[in-house]
Amino acid sequence: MKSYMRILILGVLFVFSLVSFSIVSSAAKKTLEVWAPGGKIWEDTYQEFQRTHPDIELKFVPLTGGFDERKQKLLSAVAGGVPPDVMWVDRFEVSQWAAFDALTPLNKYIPKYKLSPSQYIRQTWDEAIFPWDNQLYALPWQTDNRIIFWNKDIFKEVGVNPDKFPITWEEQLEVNKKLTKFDDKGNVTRIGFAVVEGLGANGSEWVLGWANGGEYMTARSTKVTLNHPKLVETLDWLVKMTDVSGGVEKAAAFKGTWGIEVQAPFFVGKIAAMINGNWTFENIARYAPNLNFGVSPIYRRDVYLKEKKLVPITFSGGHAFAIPKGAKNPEDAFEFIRWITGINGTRAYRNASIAFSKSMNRPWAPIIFAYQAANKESLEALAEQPVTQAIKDGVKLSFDLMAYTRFRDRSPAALLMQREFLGHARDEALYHKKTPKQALDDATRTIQAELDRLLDEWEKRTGKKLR
Amino acid sequence: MTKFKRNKEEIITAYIIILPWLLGLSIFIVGPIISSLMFSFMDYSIVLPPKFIGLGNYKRMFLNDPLFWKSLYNTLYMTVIGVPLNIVLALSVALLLNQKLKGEALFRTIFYLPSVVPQVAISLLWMWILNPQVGLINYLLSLFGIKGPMWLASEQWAKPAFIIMGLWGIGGNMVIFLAGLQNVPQHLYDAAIVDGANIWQRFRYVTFPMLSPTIFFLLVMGIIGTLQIFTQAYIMTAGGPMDATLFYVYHLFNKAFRDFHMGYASAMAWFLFIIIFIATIINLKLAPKWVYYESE
Repeated sequence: MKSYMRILILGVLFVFSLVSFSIVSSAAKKTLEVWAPGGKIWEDTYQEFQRTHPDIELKFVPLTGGFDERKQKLLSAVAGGVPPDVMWVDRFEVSQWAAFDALTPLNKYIPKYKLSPSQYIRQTWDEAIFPWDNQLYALPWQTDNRIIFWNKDIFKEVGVNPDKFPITWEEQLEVNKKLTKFDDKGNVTRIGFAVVEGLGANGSEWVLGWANGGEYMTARSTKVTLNHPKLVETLDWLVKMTDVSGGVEKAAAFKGTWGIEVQAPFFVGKIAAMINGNWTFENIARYAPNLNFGVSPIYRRDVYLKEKKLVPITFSGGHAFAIPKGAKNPEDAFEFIRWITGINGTRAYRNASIAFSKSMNRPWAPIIFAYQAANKESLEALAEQPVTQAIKDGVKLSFDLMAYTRFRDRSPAALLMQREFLGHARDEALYHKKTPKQALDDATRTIQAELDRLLDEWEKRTGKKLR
Repeated sequence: MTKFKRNKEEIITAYIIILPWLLGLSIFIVGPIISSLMFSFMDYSIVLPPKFIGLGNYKRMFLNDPLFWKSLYNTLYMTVIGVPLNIVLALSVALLLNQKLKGEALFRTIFYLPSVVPQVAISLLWMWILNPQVGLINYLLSLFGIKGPMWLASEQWAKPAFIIMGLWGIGGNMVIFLAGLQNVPQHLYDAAIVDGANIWQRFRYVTFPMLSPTIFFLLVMGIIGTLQIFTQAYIMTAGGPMDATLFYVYHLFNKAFRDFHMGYASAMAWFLFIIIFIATIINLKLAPKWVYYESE
């Protein structure tokens, strides 16, 4: 019995010494803990950082799981006082993290590193600023946007001009009716023009609202204006567009038959036209290289109705790198996020992604970086890729559209706004449970109540007044 | 004296041996339970220090959050309809499979199989089965000339769809019933037959009373489990359409991890605990009226 006790005590001592040893040794070296995506491309990029920064010991922890899971992990680390030095965040959530004081403001580093907002796509930089205190909380890494894609063969088949996408809402509704197809039992077999997120489109509601002259919030995000008359009008049109397929339930039932990759609905003719993300280009190159498709920007409806002028508009999201509050090594952390979002980091990432695609025998098309100069290099790299001219032109168009892009309003209630708008108010209107006006009025009240609570708390804590 | 010393040493050793479990229990279970009770009276956003607000969270829950009531309704709907249905079906299948038939082991296995499939896989599979256009259920209905509903895409049918899906997993309850049935002594049936009891009377006066402790156990566990329903809605419907499948725990999850309102979510959790507690007390109080224990 006694020897058993001795072994136990020795064991406990051994574990303790291991722990204390690792604490001491980690304090002696300058480590940088980064929580960011994993995989071959990213790991190659981190390796390049490590190679060019031998004095920093990069400790990379891959973020796994979905959006919710990643958020929980970061949240518990920050709350527990053991945050990483760098974390990868959805840019649209930066304001929520900032409002809860979970991130380090980066403004003081800007002059030291001679950074300027003009080096980045302006909107992506602005999206990383928390509008209540006007501080920058992250450096933008990548972005995206939304455009109209259509299948020219289907357009020809139903007798619609395949070379020009209709511009007005009335024309688009007509074309949608012409393109939408049913079987003899009344089931939808093709959606004409997908404009509802989750039913074939992506990010469409946001951009269509702006295109119509609507605003979702006031400039400093203190007031919700989701029931803006122009947004009500937009939702009303979305309902009409959805009713073309016999109502939202039928469209949702049809969606259940869709596949992915080569079976994606747009590639197999289950969707004739759609508003979707620029990542579609790489997917076309990879899964449907022979697709006869056209692309067009979404145009500002308000400007067109007034001046008959075509001004594009699009919607961008994307990711950023931030430094959590309480990070132990903020100086190196900033060097890391500056490097990885800058010309060298994006170059390393691009090279790694080209090499990876090549090793997998896949076509490659670039993502859009937030760093302006990086995108020029991306287009040069694309020119040498064996993809069709249509893909190259489309990618070029999506890059050019960044000048016209907008982002979702930044606020700590951004996620609630997304849920209330797309998961709630929009559905109530699509299901004809409420009129678009009622639905948006109700959602506006709910979000405003939450925003007021957050504002009260924030004003009290910081001593600043916004209202 | 020496004996006492040895005892003391044994006690210490025992504590050291159970220490990992004891630490685990107090740090990961008792600790969070106590702190969640405290947080339910606080405004707590996880990252910022908590602030005491009295009954603020509870007031907001009852008076200012329509989704709270909606999610509670959805959850009670699942419990009130789903749990009894599940038990009745599991019992019926168990009675059928309790016959001495050729291949009974095979049938039992088949009925039990779905219970070993993970919830996530079940959810993904059922999204296909429930698909209104190409799904199995509506195809079978169409053979009888019935036009099946839109299931998960429909506000009215989404919850029933989940209940039907739940019935696929009766295997677990069925096995427990089968075990219960094995314990019904044959001599009771023999006596009943001698007394001229027909098959229904034998079920009503022999099988049912003898099985009542099992039914009671499954009822209590079923209610507790269903009140915490989450995974299916998270994977299959994201709470939609129009919050028809926004269950209580899903709403709680949204509040806690998506909106950072940990205090509010804690209050919700404690209210759920109270509901489960009351439901269980009621069950226990009603039990003597219908549950029969042989030892009594």
